[in-house]
Amino acid sequence: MAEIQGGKSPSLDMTPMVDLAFLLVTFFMLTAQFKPQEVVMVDTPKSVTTTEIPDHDLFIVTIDSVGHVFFSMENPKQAGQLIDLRGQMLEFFAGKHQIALSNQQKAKFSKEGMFGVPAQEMGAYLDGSGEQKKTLIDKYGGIPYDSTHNELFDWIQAIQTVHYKAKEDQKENIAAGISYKPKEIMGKLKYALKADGNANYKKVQEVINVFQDPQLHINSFSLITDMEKF
Amino acid sequence: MGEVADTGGGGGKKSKVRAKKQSTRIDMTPMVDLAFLLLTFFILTTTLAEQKTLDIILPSNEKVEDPPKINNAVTVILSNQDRLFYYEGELKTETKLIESNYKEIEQIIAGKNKSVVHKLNEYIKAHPKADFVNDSIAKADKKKIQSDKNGVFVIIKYDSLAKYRNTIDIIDEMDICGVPSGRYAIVKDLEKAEKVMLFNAKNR
Repeated sequence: MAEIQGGKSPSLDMTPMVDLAFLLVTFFMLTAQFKPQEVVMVDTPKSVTTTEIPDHDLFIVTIDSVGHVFFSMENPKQAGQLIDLRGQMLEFFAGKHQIALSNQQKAKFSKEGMFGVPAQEMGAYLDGSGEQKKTLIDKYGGIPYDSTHNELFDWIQAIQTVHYKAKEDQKENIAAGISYKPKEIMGKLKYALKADGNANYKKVQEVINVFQDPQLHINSFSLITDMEKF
Repeated sequence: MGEVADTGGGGGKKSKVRAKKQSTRIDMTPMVDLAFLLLTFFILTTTLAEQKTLDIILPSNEKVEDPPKINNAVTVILSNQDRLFYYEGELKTETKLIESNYKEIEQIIAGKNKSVVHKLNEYIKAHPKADFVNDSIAKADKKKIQSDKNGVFVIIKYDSLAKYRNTIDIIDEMDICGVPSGRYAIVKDLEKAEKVMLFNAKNR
């Protein structure tokens, strides 16, 4: 290796440090989960609460600053397999509204993050590019939730139905001897409201009214906020 | 580095062309720089986006039960531009709306909730190690103290211009003042008299 002639060389062996640095880089790169590209930006208000957001079985309704409503629901992973709850939800919803979607569109829906267009625009939305999606949202303004045309109600009913079914299926599987990690066992479906701080409260209350509909009966839910730093 | 073998001119027998012996070491500085750049980036980005939730439980029927002790009720009305008004007790013809702000209302509500805050402080004195977040016994005790009927009852109302942020702020104040979810209520509609009062108070 290096020949040392006379006085000591000022350079030192950095190999362990570099090794460690790369180890950390690899660790962070592999574990980091980027926030999925969201269709709308929502600036949630701050609060002093320290309660964590549940990380599964969570149905999130997002309200942006002008009162457009979106929902998101992640497909749960069980025994290494994704359960396509979203696909089943879509099936339920499309059946009720009698809209025909191609298999390709259905597959796209399962991979979407936040979703928010009226039923009749769904096909065009799923085929569209990022830019086209934005225009459609601006034009049609999220999921309708007024009393005459309440699609949000239908979506929530869809998730309640398919979530319940998936939970029962899992129970059967457990009885049949399939083992799951504790994290994979489905719990009660939880609801969260993620609204922009500048959204009109009246709009938020309208969404809460949908939640509290006697048929849906959601009286307990979470409000997502940013952490207030002291 | 700089040595160049003298190849001479002629191609005589003695001047063998030797393969140049190159150093096997490469300068790794840029790579390490990049590694640390990435490291810093990932360390900084992974912890920043932290979101929490406020859990709320609403009464299943739409009607809000009347506060048991009406003179210990505070009605807060939220409005636009972060303005906030309140009145104490029952709504009467001589009731005046008082304009306030979120800092002040915290003082007022905490003041009205004194008996509960006092009891809670005594509890903390008696059990200095009580953990209200994780320990279920301490949590139940806290809830019991807070549900005291002599505590304040806050009715939160809003006009059509109030923002969602305002509601979160006021629920947050409830948390800070030790008012549990059964002791405050968000009420949907303003009464006619309240609407008039609010209009007058805003244009005062």
